[in-house]
Amino acid sequence: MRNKFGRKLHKLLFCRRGVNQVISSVIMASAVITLGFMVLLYTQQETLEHNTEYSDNTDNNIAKIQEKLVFEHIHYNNSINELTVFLLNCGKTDGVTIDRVYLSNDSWSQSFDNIELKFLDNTATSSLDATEEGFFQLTIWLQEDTSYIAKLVTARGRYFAETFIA
Amino acid sequence: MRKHSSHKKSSSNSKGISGIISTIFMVLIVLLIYSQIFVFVQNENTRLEAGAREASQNDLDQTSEQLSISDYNYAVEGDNVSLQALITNDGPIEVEIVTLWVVDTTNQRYAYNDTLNLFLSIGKTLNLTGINAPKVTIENASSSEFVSWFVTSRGNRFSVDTGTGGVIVANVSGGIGSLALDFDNFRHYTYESTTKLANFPEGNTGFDVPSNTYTAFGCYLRNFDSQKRTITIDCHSLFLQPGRSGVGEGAWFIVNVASDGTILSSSQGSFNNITIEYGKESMLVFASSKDLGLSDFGRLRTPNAIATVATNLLLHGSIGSDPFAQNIPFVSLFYD
Repeated sequence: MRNKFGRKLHKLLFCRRGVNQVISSVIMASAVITLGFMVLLYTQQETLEHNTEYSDNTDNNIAKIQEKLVFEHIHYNNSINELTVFLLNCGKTDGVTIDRVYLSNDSWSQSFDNIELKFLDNTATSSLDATEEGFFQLTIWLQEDTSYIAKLVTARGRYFAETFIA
Repeated sequence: MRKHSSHKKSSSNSKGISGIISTIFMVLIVLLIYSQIFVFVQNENTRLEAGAREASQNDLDQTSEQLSISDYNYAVEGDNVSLQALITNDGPIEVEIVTLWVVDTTNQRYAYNDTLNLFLSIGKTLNLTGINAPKVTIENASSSEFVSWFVTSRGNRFSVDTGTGGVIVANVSGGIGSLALDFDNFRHYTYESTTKLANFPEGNTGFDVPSNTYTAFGCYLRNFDSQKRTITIDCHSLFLQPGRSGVGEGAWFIVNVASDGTILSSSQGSFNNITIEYGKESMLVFASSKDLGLSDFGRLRTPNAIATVATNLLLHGSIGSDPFAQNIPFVSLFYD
């Protein structure tokens, strides 16, 4: 019995047949596992980025859909050629900025950028949050008693228009 | 025997099992990834849809808002213009009024009051009178015409000038009764003949009146009744100058006058009542020494004295179907 066990131990220790196969299998498995984790991490990272981008995109779309500005009053002071446009952000979206303003009538059109938005208390602001009121002023000569259209384009790409008589 | 050996072979031969297991794993992994992506995209789409639904609900709410504005008046005191009105929410949703805009169309000025924050439940009426009347500041607006509108939190504008036109309440007289005097247009007349006023209707403006002279007085009165009723003035109305320190009392009763200045009501009972509709202004002429409901017409001289006197307008008649009487503390006159 003792001899039999000794023989087996001797065979295990000194017989080298199949060792290469085991080692190569271990290396192969390690490589595959490492590679697998790398691929998994990369995929996760990419997926996370994509998800974030997708979520941001959805957020932007929702914000754009819910963006709403109304014109409270448009006043043209013909003695100083100044047009004042009062706005109310009655939508659900905060941070509404005005990218560009177009003034036009049947035969004429002009656009304005760098709009200086202000709150009603005359403090400057870059955007209007929901329920906030503000105004901006444009220096332009307009024909008295003539109908014009003021069109605002927001940074998110919504536009709001109103007709007024100068 | 052959059958037994083939069964033994298939159960002991495990070749290909790993392939099947790995394929199953692979399919499970792919399914897991796809389901995660599907759920994520589905969630995002649901969120977007909810946002769009909310936006369209807001649009719907905005179009549902309905306010009716009635019994409105503008009261001017110095540079303060206050709008008195009754506002009723006729719509199916609660309304929040955030801003009042008032435009002085006479002087092309505007002002706003953005501190209102008035909530109006369905069917409720808001009484904006007295201290509740919202105010704006517009310079030199005492004789201006106004248009105004309320802005709600949903972005609707409700104009006050829809329906019958708004009117301006004079500073002093408007607070006393339904008729208000136009102080700037008070005038007095001399006679061209015994029954015809000179230079009618222009007459003489100002408050210096010749003494000891046959005189008639013309006063422009505007109806500001809050219930918009028509006021009827009858023959018992007069222009009273109480006596003071040697100056005798004078009472000039109301008369009807033709456009050329001829006094039409020359005999007892000949006076035709004068009606003043809501918001309208009418000139009343006071010339008769007697009440034309009780006596014939007679001219009246101003006192033969140099003095400053007080005067009052004592008005009598009806307002709508109700009796009407008003004593307007009037101007002061200087007899010279």
